[in-house]
Amino acid sequence: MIEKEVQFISAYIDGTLSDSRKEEFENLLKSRSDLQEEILMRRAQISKITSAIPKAKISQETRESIELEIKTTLSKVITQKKLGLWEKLKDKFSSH
Amino acid sequence: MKRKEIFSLISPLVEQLYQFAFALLPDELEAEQLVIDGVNGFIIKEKKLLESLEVEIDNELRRFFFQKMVGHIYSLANKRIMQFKLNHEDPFYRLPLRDRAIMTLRYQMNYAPENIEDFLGIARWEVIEGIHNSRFMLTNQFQENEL
Repeated sequence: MIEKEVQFISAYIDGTLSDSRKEEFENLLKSRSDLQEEILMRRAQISKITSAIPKAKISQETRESIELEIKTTLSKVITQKKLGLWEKLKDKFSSH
Repeated sequence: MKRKEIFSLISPLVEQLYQFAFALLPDELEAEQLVIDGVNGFIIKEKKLLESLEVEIDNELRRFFFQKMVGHIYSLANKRIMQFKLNHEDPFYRLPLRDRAIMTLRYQMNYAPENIEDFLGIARWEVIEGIHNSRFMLTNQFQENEL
């Protein structure tokens, strides 16, 4: 395997190949079983790396606390048009 | 856009944002605070946009929100990391903060390098460098552990 092919494989696996290069590489792959084996090996490596990235599970308590803070900020920051209130008043007013 | 609608857009993203924050600062309280501050920073900064938005809530919009909030969380974590003591026994936490952010977005959340570039506000070459370096470091670490 030549250096250029090793670089191609890395870029292919990392998702950093441009579309035209990707097509070129996929065509090459069809006729090269050694490259296919290398890719399988690299994919196994990536799956090991992925499992090393922590997947923190958020607790219900934490989620509720975060959501409460977001709601508070939204009510302080985002101006609400008071159309809803007027609609209610208008209905009451017109029924008399 | 009404508060209720904004909240319904942000709420389903909380779990992923927390995971991202935890990958940067691995402490439950720190990660929680990072998410709160990141989301609040986004709401305050994008107040005008949020108030004027009159579009259907779809995945594209949710992704835009996520991108912006991830950017805020990453920027805050960069400042807070100085006061934070990391446990270097875990190979993932031996990676620099930038690379942890890249690896989490790339391999845990499946974002393409061009998205990560936008999320973190860094150059494409930095994303590629981060992926290559991290992969090399983690693979070496696994091999050392196996010996």
